[in-house]
Amino acid sequence: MAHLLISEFCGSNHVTRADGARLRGEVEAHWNDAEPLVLDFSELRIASVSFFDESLGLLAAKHPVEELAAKVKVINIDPQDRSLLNSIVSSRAKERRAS
Amino acid sequence: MKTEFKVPARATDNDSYQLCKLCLELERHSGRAVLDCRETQRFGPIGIAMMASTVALRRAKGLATDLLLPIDDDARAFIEEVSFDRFSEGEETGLGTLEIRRLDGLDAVYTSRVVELLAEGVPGRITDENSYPIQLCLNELLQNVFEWSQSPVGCFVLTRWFKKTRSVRLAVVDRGIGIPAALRRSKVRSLHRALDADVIEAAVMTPDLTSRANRVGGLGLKTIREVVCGRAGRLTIVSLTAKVTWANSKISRFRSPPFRGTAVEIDVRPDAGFAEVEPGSILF
Repeated sequence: MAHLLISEFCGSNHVTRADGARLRGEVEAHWNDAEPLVLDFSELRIASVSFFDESLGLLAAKHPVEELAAKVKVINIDPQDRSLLNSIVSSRAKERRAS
Repeated sequence: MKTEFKVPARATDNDSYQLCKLCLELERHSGRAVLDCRETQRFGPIGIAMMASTVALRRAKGLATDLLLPIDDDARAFIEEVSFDRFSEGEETGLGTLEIRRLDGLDAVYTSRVVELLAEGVPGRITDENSYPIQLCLNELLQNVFEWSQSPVGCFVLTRWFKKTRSVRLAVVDRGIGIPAALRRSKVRSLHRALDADVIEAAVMTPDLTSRANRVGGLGLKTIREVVCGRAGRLTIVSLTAKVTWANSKISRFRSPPFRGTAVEIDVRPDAGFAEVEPGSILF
């Protein structure tokens, strides 16, 4: 199972849409792996709609959420970041179903 | 010869009409100017940031702007605390502090430092946990500025704790094209025919409305409104010829003298907890 430590992968670049797009690229590179990609948010607070929306929100707009949840495992995330991430992914998933 | 520009008695979000007028006149003046704050008794973050942005626009044209400090002790102390006096003299301010700060890019280290400083400065009231919405709003506002505004002078940020209202007020001001112009340029829906106030309101209230061509987006301002109003706070946006405010579920719209760019102030009470998502929505 591939493990991505976000603090190492992103450094201090974990706020903007461009930062989120870079993470999305990495997730997509592992999309066909047999095991889910583990995104480890240890010791990091994101607090950015843009970052989460551009990384996992956009993937939720492209793919069924069940597929996304099977491809990506999120661990050690700040509880408020988790709440924000879930809210964004749910919102994009709803839009995808409605379209 | 210096021309004096009188700052209103209150330079706060409620008085943005006078502030916009002042900034417009100051921006148009091509000689040496003096910002006369002698009779000003109260400043808000948006007032300081709007004046700072105008001083910076003038400085970019090689025009100096002097400052006359307030007579009122509290108002004078505020100006000195936020270092607007030093800023107007051309000094760099806000490095590692909560003074007025000019930013030329979104810096995650800066935004996390702001909330750390607030927590250090207001122990017990602002904690690591309840500072989250402040950091979230600051990140989103700065993301918008540096993605869309095309501001020639970057943006100006001021964050302060207000003991009386037990709230954090945070202002972000840019001198770019303005929210209405950004959405009109992208020919989003039918907004190119709408009033500035309508466009600002739509940018905050309409799901999925974004200038980002063929891409997801449009969650930032909506999230800010939810976060702020969900905590009995207030969101104020001044851009081009309009001012729109949100407080609880009430939206108020005002005409404004033209303000090139966008000025946003949020007043957020950090006491309340972050709203949980519905259990059925939890995916990660």
